[in-house]
Amino acid sequence: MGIKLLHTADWHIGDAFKSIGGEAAVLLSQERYYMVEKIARQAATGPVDAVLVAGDIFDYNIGNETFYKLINAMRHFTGDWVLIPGNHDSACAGSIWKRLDTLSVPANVHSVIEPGILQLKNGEIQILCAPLQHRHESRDITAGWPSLDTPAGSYRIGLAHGGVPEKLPPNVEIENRVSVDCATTAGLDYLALGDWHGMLSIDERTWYAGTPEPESFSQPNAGNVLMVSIDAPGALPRVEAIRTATHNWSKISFDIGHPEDVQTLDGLLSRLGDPSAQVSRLTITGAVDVATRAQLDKVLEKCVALFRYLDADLSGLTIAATVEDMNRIGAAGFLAEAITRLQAIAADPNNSDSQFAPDALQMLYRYAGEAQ
Amino acid sequence: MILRRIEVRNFRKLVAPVVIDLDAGLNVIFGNNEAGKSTLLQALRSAFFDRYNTSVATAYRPYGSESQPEVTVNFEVNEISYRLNKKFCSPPKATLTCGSECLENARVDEKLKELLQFKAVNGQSQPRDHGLWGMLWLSQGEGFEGFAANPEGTRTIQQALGEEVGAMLGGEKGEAVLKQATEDSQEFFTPTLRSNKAYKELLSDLEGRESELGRLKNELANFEQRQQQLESSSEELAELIAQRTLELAAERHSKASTAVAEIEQLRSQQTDADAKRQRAEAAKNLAVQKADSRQLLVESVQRLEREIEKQSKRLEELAPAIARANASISEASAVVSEWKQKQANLLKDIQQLQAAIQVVRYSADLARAEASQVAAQAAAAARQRVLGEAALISVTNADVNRARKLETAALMAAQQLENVATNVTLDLNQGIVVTIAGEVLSGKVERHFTEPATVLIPGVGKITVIPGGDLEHLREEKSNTAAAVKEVLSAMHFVSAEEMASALAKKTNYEAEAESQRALEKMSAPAGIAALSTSVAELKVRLQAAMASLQGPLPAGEEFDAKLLSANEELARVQGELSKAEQEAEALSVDKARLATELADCTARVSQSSSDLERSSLELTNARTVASDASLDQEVLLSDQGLTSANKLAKVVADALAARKPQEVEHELEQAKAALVALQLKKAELEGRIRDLGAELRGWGQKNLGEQVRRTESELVGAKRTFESKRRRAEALRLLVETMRAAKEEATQSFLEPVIRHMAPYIDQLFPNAKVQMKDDWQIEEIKRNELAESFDALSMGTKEQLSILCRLALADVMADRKLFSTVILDDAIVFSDDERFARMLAILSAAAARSQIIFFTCRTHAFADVAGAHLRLKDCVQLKAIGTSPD
Repeated sequence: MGIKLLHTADWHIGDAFKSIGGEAAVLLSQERYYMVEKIARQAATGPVDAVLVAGDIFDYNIGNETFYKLINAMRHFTGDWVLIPGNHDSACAGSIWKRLDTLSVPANVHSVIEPGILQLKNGEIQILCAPLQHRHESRDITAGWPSLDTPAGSYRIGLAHGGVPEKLPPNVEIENRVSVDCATTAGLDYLALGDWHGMLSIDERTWYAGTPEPESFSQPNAGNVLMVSIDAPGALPRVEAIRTATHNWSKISFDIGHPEDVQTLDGLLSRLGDPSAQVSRLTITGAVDVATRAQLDKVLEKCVALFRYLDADLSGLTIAATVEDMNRIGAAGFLAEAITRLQAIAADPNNSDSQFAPDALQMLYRYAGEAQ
Repeated sequence: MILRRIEVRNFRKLVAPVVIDLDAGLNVIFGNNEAGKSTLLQALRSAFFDRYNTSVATAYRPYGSESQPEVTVNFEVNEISYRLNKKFCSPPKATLTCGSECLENARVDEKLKELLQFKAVNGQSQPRDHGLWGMLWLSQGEGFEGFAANPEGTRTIQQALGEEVGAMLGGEKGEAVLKQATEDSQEFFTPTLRSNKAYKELLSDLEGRESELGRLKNELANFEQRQQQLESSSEELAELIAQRTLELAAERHSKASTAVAEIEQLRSQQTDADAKRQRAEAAKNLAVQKADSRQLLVESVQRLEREIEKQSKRLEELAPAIARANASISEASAVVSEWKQKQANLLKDIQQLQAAIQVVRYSADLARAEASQVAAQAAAAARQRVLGEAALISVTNADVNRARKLETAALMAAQQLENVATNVTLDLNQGIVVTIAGEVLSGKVERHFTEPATVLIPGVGKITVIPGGDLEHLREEKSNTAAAVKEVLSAMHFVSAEEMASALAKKTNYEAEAESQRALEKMSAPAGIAALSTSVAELKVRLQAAMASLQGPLPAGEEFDAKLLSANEELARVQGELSKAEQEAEALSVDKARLATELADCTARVSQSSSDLERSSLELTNARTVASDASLDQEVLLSDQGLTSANKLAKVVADALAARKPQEVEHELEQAKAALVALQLKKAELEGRIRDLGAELRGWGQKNLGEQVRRTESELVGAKRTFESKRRRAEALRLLVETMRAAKEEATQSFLEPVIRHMAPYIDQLFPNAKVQMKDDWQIEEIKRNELAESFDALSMGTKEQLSILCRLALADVMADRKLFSTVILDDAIVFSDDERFARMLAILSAAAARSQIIFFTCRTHAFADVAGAHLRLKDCVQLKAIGTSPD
């Protein structure tokens, strides 16, 4: 008969996206609930026997309102949800997990905050849970799993949150360790892990689902959930990645040398896809004349308006007024003198106004253009 | 532009044709009030700047007339001559002739606009529309309003300045950019580029958010700290329970308690031994005390006996000593008496000597005083006598002078009479005699006749001599003066003035004598004779008193002073001896008193000691009847043995106690007890804290601080980004405006420079050493005199008016420098100036007229009389017959 599980983790509900900030951050934060709705619908479509959420469901210590919003987003799947706390939302004193008795939690939502086994489907599925009760656990809380007995013929599934040092990049700091051969030593059919935000297979029975919605510029393979099918206890699981990401986080560096490069950049940004799904950080370098800079400003103005978020860093872009620029706006007299002075200020690193001079020049050209 | 001829008719009050030919230099056009000077200026303006078919031209018609206003102007621009004719109202017509070319109507207006560069407007044009000419032509009563530039005029001047400063000006575009940048900068800054309220609020909003985030982070840190505390408390409690620490502490406490109980028992034994030892010690002390008391009593009796013996011996020595002292005192008293007698004798001698000295001195003084009294009285008598003599002579100096004057007058009158007398000289032969007035004369005789006289010549007859002239008057004069002399002298009883002078000299001598006597009197009696007499009387009294105090006759010899000195020396010696004797007597008396006191003291001590001895002896006897001295010694010995025994027992017990180290045992008990209590308290505290923290964190967790912090952080990032973006925009705007203003200011200064340069010599003539500051539209902003700046608005009407004219002249000069000659028209412009300034302004106008055409309308005929240039009277320019000016 087999079972079907949807493995996800690291939702980080309540993340305020402080690196983004502002209105975009608010929207990104709110859209985490939409992400959960998508997962719930996916689970219902499966249909799956259970959704396993491997920790870091919340970004931090959250309030009741956030919890209820999450429960609301989960409503589209009425099957079993198994939630465990991770390091971000550990079940420490004062955490939401310690107040669940005061909250109204649907019966199909199982929050496991003590290490142990959760039985689903009348014991057919045995979920060995390793919830984090502290942000940092000094010991591997999956270490005791080999000694936990489960009924013969049941599915033995592990659910944990932590790092597998052997399989993660060496510079990653592991706060809560999970043994690389945990699935083998504990005799698991499948070990659903959370903590690493990119989808990653540790072995054929052990997977990181990664976060279902990217939330940084530097996380590969984020934006998926895993559909895990196990035909029989002891059988190898079939794991299928299902794309759930809405937003495309991109970091772009672009050097402008010629006026035509602005068009190239425009094309590049257009090809990123749905602008409203783009979260981009753009670093532009090079040297341009005033007219080119004006063109660039137009392109950026459009993208800033349409993108979910666009941060354009132009500090590496220098601006120099050419004779053509001067002629174009008919600059003469004190106007021309002011341009010369502003250029001198821009070129003088000791002048405290040098950082503002390019913008001032740009404004001057715009005003002069409007006056024509 | 240079105006050559103006012809006007039917233009408001200038109904009759007026034709004015103008010079290229200064033209002064005189006209009384209401003569039409301002109308002439209006006609010029209308011709050049109003459209030929303007509807407002009906207002140019003479009042109540339907005639057609017409203005014709011959002028030159850039050395090309033009003739303009405009006929307003129906049918309007304009022509502009230049050489063979002739333009009409609208094309005339277009050409004029091209030539004169002004702003064509519909309806009535205003000076501000007239370009440079609106700036250079000054209407009546507008001088003090300063200088108003207009865009067209400014452009004309800019064009004229051309290459020199053209590059420095940004033109309209520069102005537009600066205006727009300035307007946009107002979003963040004040006009002086200080941060405005909105900009400040942006920053304070950011600070508010940061502050809120700080507060939340603080709270969150507290929350996390509480979590940490709960964790560590839980771990601590678990450890406490796991290690059985509390049970171990209880066991330690129990052991220590047992050891302390044993110590307590030993301490009880020690207390008993100590009590026994104390009792033995008390018994010994009592026995020793009794024996000591007996010994003290025995020693007291012995000591009293020795004291009585010693005092009795001393009493025996004191009686003869006192007798010797009394004898010595008697001897000393005799010596003192002897010296006192000598002193008394000497004092008496001294008194007699002093009295004798006084008698001698008063006698001498009295003799001198009496001699002076006599001399003074004699001098007083002599003075009285000569003063009496002098008083008898009543002649004064004036009397003498008068008599002498009268005598001289009489002499002169006699001399005059003599001078006019008839002189008869007779030289009679021997024997011939004649008789004249009864006098018989012979020989050579000369006679003077002052009155008729008869010379009888015996035998011959007589000759009557009658002197001529006014003899009568002279005779009368002589007689009068002689009578006057006689009257004066006889009145004073003198015969001549000389005699009178002699008497006066005598009187003077008397008075000198009196003065001499008065000096003698003064010398003898300086304070007056009366005072001298009083002094004499007093001396007599004193002498009598001195003689009375002299007991007996005046002693022989005269060296009383030497004797007195000797007596006084002897007295001093005797008094010294007396004092010494008295001191010796006093010392003896003191010695005697001391011996007497000692005697009394000794007697009293013997008495006291005897009484004490009696009492002590009785006491000793009584005591020995109760207990003998030997029994007391035995009691001391026995009690000492009892004490030694008790001490031994106490030491045995103390050693046993010390061997158990009671302090250490007790300390251990205290520590064990403290440790147990501390652990119990700690456990209770940990349990309580865990309970409290759990409850607190449960409640606190609902505040979702983490979410709040993250949300606020995110909002802050957004706000910072927004702020940074606005700040960049604001600072760029500020930089742009600052930079453009600075560039423009420099350009403006360069632009103004030619005008200021041309204005400087004019200013110097009118306001020496003054400098003007101009705005970029040539408006005078301020004038600086003696480093004191005054704004244009604060100046007097006259000064404003003068500066306005100078500014226009300087502008015209700038144009003239570039061969662009201008006409400056000033309609009655110098009306508020005082005479001196007026004269200087005329000189300036004359000088400026060498470079520009100046037309000056005035009603002050005489004021301009000396000014070089064309002088025209408006009324002389009125044509009696119509002139045909139409080019057609």
